[in-house]
Amino acid sequence: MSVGHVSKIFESMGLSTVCFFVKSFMHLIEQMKIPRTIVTNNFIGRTIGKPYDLFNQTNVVRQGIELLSSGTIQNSIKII
Amino acid sequence: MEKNKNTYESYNETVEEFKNSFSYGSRNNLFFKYLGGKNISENEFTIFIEELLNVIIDDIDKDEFSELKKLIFNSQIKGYLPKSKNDKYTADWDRVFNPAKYTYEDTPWTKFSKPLKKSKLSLISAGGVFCKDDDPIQPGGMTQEDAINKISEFLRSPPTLAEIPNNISKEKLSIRHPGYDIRAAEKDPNVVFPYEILKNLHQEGVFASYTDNFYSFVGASPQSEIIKTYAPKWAQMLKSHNVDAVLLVAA
Repeated sequence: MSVGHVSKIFESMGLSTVCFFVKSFMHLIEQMKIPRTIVTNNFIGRTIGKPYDLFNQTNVVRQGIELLSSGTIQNSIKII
Repeated sequence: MEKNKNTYESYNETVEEFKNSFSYGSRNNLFFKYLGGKNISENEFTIFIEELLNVIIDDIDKDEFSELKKLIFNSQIKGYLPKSKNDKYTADWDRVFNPAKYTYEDTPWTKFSKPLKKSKLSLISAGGVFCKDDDPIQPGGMTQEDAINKISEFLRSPPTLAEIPNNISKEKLSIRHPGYDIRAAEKDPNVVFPYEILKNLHQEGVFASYTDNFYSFVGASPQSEIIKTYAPKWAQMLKSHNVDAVLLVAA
């Protein structure tokens, strides 16, 4: 929830954001209407991936950065 | 934290007491703390334990643990579902993160129009990462055990943003957070603070530059303080560094 609030304030002040959440917090993303979010199928406390899993961690962060320019207000949640 | 009852002495512990002990109780386990929450009934808890044992046997025979992970993953999702409107919010945690209070109709949006190859990015993690010799919350550094014991204090105190130089080595990073299991992050901070991943992507030429510091705070903080005071302050600070976009990682 904290990240969602930081994101909403940043966006309202002219700063683009992309958030990373795990699927267990999907309900928060929807109820808070958080802009540009990557949702991962990882456990809480492992949002970006498993420890030392460089390949999948890189994929998650890369997709987040790409979402900055490709996401639209109507379609800004990407589940990976 | 309640008195440790996990001894060999005779003690007639109820299933409910056993279940609740995983959530800031005598068997506190932040990975499984949701089992002690109200979303998992006593009956669901016993069914989960039974399924868990059976799945472990099946997966041992296969020497492959995907079913075990699936069972735990799905139980975690159920454990974190919001409560119904009729549920009372009594614990500190529930008061701070009451979903009914923070439901919105609007999505503030700043169009990202600059090409990535000309953009400056920054990173903020809510995972409670800090530099070992520079804990902004407790000089000398707070341990994870301290953080868990101070959960109520965190939920009442304003968030503190740790500045982490972008060239920091893993050995100089530390993590403490009263709300989640930090074991994976202790092994590899990138799981909640992808500082090395971000720098690798910069090396690849995906974006132009990044800030001298990356940042982290403990997400278990009063939401009203974040909204009114701290997030606006952090936004101003990042804008003063000509940041174009920020990666925000929830833990």
